[in-house]
Amino acid sequence: MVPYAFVAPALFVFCAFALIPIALGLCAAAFRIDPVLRVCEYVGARNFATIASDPPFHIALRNNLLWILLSIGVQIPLALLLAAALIDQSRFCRALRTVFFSPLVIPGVAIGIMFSIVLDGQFGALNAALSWVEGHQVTVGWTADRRWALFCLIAVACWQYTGYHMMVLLAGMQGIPTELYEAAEIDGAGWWQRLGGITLPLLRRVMLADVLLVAIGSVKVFDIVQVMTQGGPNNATEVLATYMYSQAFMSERMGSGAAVAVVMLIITLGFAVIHSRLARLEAGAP
Amino acid sequence: MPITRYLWLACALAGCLVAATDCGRPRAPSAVVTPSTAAPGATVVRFGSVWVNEPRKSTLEKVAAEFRARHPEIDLRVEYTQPDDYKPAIRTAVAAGNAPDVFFVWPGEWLRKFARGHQVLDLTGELAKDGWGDQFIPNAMPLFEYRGGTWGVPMLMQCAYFLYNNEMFVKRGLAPPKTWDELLRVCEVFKREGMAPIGLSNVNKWPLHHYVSILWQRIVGEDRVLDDYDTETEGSFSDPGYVEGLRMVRLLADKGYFSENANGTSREMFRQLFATERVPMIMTGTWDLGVLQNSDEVPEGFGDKWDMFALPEVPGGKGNQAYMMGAPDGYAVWADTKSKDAALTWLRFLTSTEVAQRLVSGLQELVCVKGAVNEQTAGDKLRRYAADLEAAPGVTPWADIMLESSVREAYLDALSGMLDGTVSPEDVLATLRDAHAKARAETRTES
Amino acid sequence: MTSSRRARMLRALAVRALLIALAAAAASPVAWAAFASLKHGRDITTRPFELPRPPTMRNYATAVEAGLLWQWLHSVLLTSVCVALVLLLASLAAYAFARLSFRGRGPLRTLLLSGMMVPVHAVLIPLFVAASRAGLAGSPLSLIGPYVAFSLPLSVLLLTAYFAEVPREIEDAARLDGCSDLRLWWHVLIPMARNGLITVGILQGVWIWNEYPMALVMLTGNWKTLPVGLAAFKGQYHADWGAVLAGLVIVAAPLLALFFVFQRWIVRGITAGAVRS
Repeated sequence: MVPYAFVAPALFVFCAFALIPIALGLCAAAFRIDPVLRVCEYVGARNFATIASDPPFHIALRNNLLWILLSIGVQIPLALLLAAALIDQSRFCRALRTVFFSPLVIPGVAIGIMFSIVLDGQFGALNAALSWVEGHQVTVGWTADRRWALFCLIAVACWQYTGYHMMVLLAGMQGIPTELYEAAEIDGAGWWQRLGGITLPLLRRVMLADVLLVAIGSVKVFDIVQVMTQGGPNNATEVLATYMYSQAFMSERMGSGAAVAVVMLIITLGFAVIHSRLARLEAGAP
Repeated sequence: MPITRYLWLACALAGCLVAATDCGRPRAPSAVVTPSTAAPGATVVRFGSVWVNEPRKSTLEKVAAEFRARHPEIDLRVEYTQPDDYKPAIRTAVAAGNAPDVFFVWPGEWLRKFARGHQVLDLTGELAKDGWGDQFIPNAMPLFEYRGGTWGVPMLMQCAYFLYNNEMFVKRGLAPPKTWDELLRVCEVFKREGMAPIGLSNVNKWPLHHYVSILWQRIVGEDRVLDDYDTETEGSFSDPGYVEGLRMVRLLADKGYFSENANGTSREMFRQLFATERVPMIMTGTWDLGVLQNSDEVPEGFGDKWDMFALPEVPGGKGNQAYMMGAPDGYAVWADTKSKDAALTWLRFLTSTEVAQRLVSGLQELVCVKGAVNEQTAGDKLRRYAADLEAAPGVTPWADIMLESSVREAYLDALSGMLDGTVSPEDVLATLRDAHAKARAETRTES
Repeated sequence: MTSSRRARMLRALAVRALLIALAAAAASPVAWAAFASLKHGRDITTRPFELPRPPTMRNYATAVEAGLLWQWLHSVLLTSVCVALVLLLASLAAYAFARLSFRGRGPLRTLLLSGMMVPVHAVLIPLFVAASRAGLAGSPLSLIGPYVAFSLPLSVLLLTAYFAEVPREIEDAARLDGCSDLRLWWHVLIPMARNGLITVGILQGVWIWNEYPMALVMLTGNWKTLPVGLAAFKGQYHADWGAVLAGLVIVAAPLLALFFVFQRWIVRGITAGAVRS
């Protein structure tokens, strides 16, 4: 009896405000809901059909995929290098680690607003700096330009999160005994060889978890995109979360929004399943 | 500190939180509630307004104060919300069952949805009493009428005009164009000098569609266009004039007649382009009349440098070429209000001729009440606009207030793609027709 | 000094220089924003890198007038209440998972942990509809439940681990004296796992403070948390860059300051969460 009493409050809150809403959300995807028209009718899989035939949805899927690949490709190696370079406890290393990590405490909204001003096509500080360097007026549109907008946003996300992944990998590195490095150094291994031969293999489990974090984060990304481009220009930077928001609250199709949320849920759980399978393989391997 | 103290602190904060939230509780979609000077036991009337900026806010406050003085038995509470936040806030309030008794509305599809959901009152009967309905400018009423009822009353009316820099035209011996072809010729003159003839800001996606909307009315005809916009009727944009209109706008873009990077240009930048005389023409709504005559944004005396010309005609088009393009905004009464009579008293007061005149003087915008704009209350550009509006055979609305939300979103997105050349006019129309067909299928299932 | 040693020293110096340059680049947007917020909006667009002459506080006045400080207070209140609730509920549950054995312990734990994978967006719409029907839309009360619920999985996971590390001798002694579970929880485990509680509290606090999508959807009224308030402020004042930047500084600077003070806890919490999951 007693143990259940301890767990009950947490479980109750979790069920009431997370599990049940998730279940409702899954169901809402099968309804057409409009509070103003007082409508709540069952439409089966029609919402899924609607979004599946909607070009912005395909664009959003593609953008999220790009986001995942580029984030993993940029953030993890960079985080690894930084963690390896800043591994000791000197004041220099600690100070620099703090600098790289600090963007994490700033709300995504603030980061988005800050960069939308810096990256402004007409008057942004970045263009001003580039103009000074190049000697002539530079007016690249950055996030207003369909070709570069998504990459600019991904770059901002990298700025925001690389420090975080650096710290995660660093924590993982703490578990590697220094004797291994010393032995390798005596054998004549250079810095890069030590990194590739010792650090990387021993860090595999942590890196796998980190990759999963990056992937899930890339599927959920919302704040930066919503604040900087709202998915524009012309859907060029649409991601699943902004598409869901615009369907539910701007096009007033809550059912479709819920359907997008279901898709996001499936993708996220899919990654988690893949991760746990891979992790089990890892644990099995020597 | 021991844990207990943390807990007490948390409880105290929780108490503060509850107290603080009581101030912001959804009694109001917003909550800058003005203090009440009414007698105890007075009927409460909540008024949802979007007039948060000056001079609108202080002008409204003065009118409200006068009303309260005259009607101490009514406790009038004005609730201000940012226009951008307003739609979701009102939708939430209505869904939650505590909307303001009288609230601001944009007519067209948005208001119609409220009507279909029985969330607003049909004011036909009230308007017939004491000639209240006759006070309003006739061209402002049609958009509030739907399925035989009238669901709101108009307040301000905005129409589109081309603003042009008179000096720049005179210097080149140009006269304001009357037809679309003349407009193209004028543009070519400026373009040859290396200047972008028409300033455009399309970052909010709706400005470009104004060009398309007026062309559609001119070419396809005002009745047909309204029929096609509507998801409840059979119309489905099959007239070839639709593609033609889109192609004509695309031509403007292809010839480089629009200012650079319009999809990334903000409204402020757009006004700056005109005010610093970098572009000779812009198409904008009458909401910009005041700002461009006399404000921080424009140099001293700039108001005398520019003038307005009516939207160009397309000879041979099926529409009435003398139509203006624009839309009013106004107010509706919540269907579930508990203070219906008091709410109507306030609304009648707000739209009475003398109050309307005061609003015009304060705001320098067109209030849709007859006689509100006159020599005492308005500047000459505003009077010119009011005269035009009275003389016009009709006003065609811009498409985005008539289209259902998902249709509008899809259409405006595709259109901004047409501006930067990634979407063809035919594809824009196809996107519009697809979204429209889907929305129509859904409306079929409604009551 | 041998040439190879000198080469190595030069290389180390070069690496250090590179790292410093990277850090400077990483810090530059924030630094620029802070220093530009002291200039007039028009100067920021025309001469973005010149020193403010003279520096002006007018932008900050605009930001404060627009109510950003109130939103600060709102965020503080909401976050504190939620964190307190999370710590309470999670530590109770963690005690059961760490120290007590009962049927269904495994499955319950898996259930809770699976909640960690779910994006907040999945529940936005049902929660919004439910809150509207309950008349709570626009009120912060509608956020407390979801914030606490979504914080629970990770918090329970971490606290279970922290509780498990507490040495058992004191507990066993207390139990022999007839101490009930509740008293054990309150008097032994909580004080001994204080670091863990602080870490979890800060971890969830940061997440709740910065949370945007749910707050955006639920807080449709005038009561806004900081991220939503900042976005609305930007929407209204977007033409006045000075004001927007001042708003940014008001939001970010205190957080950064708190971060520098408490960084040990924050780092520990966030990395512990990632490594253990």
